[in-house]
Amino acid sequence: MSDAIISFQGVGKHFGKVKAVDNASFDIKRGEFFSLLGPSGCGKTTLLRMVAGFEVPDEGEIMIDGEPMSATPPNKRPVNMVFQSYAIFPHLDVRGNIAFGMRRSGLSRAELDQRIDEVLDLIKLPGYGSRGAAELSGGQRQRVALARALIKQPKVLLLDEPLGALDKKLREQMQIELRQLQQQIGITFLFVTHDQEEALTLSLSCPRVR
Amino acid sequence: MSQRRKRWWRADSFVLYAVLYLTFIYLPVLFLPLFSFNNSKYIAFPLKGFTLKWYGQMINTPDMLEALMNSVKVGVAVAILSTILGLLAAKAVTRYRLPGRGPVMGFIMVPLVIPGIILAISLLILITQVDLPLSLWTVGFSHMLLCTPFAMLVLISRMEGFDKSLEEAALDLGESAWMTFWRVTFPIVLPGIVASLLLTFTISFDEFVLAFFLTSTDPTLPIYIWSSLRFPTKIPAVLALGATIFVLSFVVVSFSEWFRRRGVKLESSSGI
Repeated sequence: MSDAIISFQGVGKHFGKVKAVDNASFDIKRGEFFSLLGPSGCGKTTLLRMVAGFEVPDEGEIMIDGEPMSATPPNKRPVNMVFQSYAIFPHLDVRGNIAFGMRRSGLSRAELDQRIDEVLDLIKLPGYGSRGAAELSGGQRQRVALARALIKQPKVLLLDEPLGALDKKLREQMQIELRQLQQQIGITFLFVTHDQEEALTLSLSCPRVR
Repeated sequence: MSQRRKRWWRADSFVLYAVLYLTFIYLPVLFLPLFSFNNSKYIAFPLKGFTLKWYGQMINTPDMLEALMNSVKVGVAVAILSTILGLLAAKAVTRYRLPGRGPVMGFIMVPLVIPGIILAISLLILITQVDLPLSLWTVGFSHMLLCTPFAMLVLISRMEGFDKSLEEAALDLGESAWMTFWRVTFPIVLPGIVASLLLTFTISFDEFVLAFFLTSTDPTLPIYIWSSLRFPTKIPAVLALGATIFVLSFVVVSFSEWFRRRGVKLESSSGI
């Protein structure tokens, strides 16, 4: 088995006459912090959404861990996403948000509670479990979005400009934390940004998307 | 000083305007409960004294209660069905790229602007052409035609108000489309659903023209009230019923407004 966790093989996608992605072919290695860098509207988010399964490629194939994904719906893919807007469920508290994807995990109530406490520690928000979504700051929302995805133990974590909504200081702090977190848990991160400095801080592999 | 006096004068005129406005709206409505407690067959001043006998008569008029029940039956059925249709349509319109969306939406909204009488006559012609007997069913059918666009408007605005990525996040976390609807979409749209149920029920409950044309021997409440105007002895009991409905709807509207505000609070938290 190759060490590529994601492999893009001649992937293309257009919306009407606009070609968003054209013949993209590259591999992402297991355990990498991989950044996609490029200006707004250059197709990097489209590429990410195709990995998540929200967009279907018109041509080519995306392999995740050696499996072709074109026939797999988003809810069956071994990847999870941190959305640009974080998409925290407003009707649930922090615990409810984190437990959302674990309904069919087969864990007992106590095991699940323990796992939630672990990820809350991991994202440095212990004791925040019963906070409502409205009581969280921007940075805290982002951490909860991270926790909600990480508890699923995905093969790849997809991050769609997750730092864009934060102020500069918080952004720099989160960059360091994200990098540490990734090294600590060893999950492959696929990170989309338009900020060159950010991509270089975070990542060793960083191709530019034109 | 003169500035200050001027401002006082302005405030006074606004207060006066507000008082006049509220009086104009509510005074006629308040005559309903007032005369329903008046101990006289005639709706006229001076008042003759306090009585509850019209409420007793209301309870003992089976025709009237039957008409009330007819209206409630039709209203509940219409509210539920048109809200379900409105929800499905709102979901389709706000979440998918549909070909021909504009014209289709236009046609669905047309019953909002067609005069009721035109709609009533054309439906009557249609229904007699296909030999359908006139009944509460035909009234309900016509009310759905009228109410579904209202339900759609309420629900589309609610669906547009929340972030599409919430549904994507649920899919991403492993839920099916069906469970995503029940675990995310439904709880967030719930205040809109309640508002739509109340609105469509109210529209159906006091609709007159369509019901007048399309009912047979089972009158709805507005039809019953209209027909009992010819019999002066029945009027005080109608007033009692009107007052009761007024109080009930006041309670229901207050409740729904409270519920809606809870919903607004919930929504403001979904922003970035």
